[in-house]
Amino acid sequence: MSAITVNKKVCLLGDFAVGKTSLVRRFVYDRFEDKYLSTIGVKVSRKTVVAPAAGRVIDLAMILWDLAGSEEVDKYRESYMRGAAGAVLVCDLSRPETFDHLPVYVDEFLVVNPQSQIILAANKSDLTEALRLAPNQIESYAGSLSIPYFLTSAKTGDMVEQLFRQLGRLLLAGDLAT
Amino acid sequence: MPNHGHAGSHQDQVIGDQISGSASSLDNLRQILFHEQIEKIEDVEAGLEELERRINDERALVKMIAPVLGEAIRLKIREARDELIEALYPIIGQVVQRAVTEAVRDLARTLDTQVKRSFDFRLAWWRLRARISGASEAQIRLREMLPFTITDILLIHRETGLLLCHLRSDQSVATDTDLISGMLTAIRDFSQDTLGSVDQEGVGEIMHGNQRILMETALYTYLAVIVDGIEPAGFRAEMRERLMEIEHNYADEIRGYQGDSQTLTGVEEPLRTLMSASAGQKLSEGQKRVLAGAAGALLVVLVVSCLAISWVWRLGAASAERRAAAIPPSATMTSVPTETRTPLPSPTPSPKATVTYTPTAIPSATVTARPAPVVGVMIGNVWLRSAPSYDAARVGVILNTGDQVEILSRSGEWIYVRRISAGQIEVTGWLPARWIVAPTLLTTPGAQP
Repeated sequence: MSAITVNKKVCLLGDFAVGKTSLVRRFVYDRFEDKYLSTIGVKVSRKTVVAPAAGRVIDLAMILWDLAGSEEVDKYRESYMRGAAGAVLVCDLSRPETFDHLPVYVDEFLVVNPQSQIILAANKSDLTEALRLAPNQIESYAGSLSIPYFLTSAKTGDMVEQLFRQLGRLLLAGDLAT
Repeated sequence: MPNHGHAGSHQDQVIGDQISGSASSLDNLRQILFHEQIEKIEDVEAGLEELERRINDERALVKMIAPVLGEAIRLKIREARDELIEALYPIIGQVVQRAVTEAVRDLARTLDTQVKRSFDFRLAWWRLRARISGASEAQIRLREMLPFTITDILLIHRETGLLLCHLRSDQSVATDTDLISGMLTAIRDFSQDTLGSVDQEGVGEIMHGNQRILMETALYTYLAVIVDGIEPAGFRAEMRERLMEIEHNYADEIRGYQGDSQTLTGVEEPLRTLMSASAGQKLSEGQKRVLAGAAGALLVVLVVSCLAISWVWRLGAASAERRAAAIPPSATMTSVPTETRTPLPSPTPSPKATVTYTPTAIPSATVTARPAPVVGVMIGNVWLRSAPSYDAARVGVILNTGDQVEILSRSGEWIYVRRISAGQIEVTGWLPARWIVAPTLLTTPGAQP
């Protein structure tokens, strides 16, 4: 079994300050400064996971495009989404409006990339007292889209690795299916 | 009832036999009557099936249509040329515009570089190197554009921004090229969205000091070449050719690229040839030593020849002085006026004012110590002559009273002048010193006008 490298483009989608950049900063290889997000509206980083697929070990490099979640760059977002094999939807468990906005991102993303894989990260699970979103709300939304979801904490690292590993598996499974 | 039933079923069987018998005979009859038609129908069915197969199989369909399509296009060009040009203009026009823009840019770059380098000592050094290596004039010209180094070549998938191939040189500057290609693609997308689709080519270049990222774009991929210095003319065309070659050879793999770079094995070969465009010009250590030795030897030869020439010159001047001492004092054409325009005849030890206008005898004749021209005014109407003598031929010009002349040199009582007169052609010639006023600087001992 020889390891081969596969690269996939993945977009991080979600409102401002939901923790996308924190997910990237702590759990992902990050080379560029955050200023790119406010200037051109995107910052590229990499998350590598090792996953078995079809009897081979695959080094999957997810090239993560962290897209700025603000209205100023909305018009560029579509170009940045082009060619993505997957997306991580991020919302903030302490701010229900960030959850309400998710369908906008999903619709936009699926129009550009109909054959892609999506995963949902409900972030800031460490703020137990401030939680205003019930996990069953997340669950029912994820269920309606038939996508997996994780209650993550970029602060403690809870479920972040699992999130990316699951996405990796989905991306490679998508390849095998085609 | 059972008997009846039995008799009934027997009857049924008989009727059935009769029917099947008549059916088979009907079949036979049909075979006899329609066998030709049946065969034809079978043929048509087989033909249809084959046609269906071809239409469903994309490759077979393309193979089938391609020759006809070529002929159809030719016909269309003949019959509706303008219409076709109109239809193709958005594509062809852009390509042509791009090529012309690039040619002009190349030309400008070449000129810029030539001007910038024309007084550069390195130019002479490169020429020498090229001559020694037996390179052609074209190669010398190419070399003049250097220094130019390719540090990295990145082949990037346009849509996803994924890195397809990365070639690095010894001076490679790019790390995390997968991230760089992502950001680069984002920047290109950003500029495309901001500046609109006026120029589909997109970002062509990013400059950072002496380093640049040159970009060439094709349908599915683009090439980003990180270079140091100024690329030679034609380098971009080379980039484009290599890119086209890749897109042609890996059309299917690139179009449906899923992120597995193993599907693109061998894609780096065309890029290697591109990389060698700069690497091929480099010299090995041995060659450098040989060249350095040759240049050193050349320098020694040059210095020795300079010394020899100056020695021979001095020797010549000394013998001329000796000859002048032996010749009776007369102004002859041996006193050649020099182009140094110095107003000072040399202070030679000889008592005779002859044969003193040689460059070696004028210690002050340097470019830096050039005096202002000495101007005199004519006080009579005098013929200008070709030599300092009344026997010499007239130049065909008379200088009139009041004319201004630039005094170039003097031989005895004769002065060599240039006419200064706006709107008239420049004439030089000799005339007697007494017809000029104020040539004070040209006084020669024993030869006052």
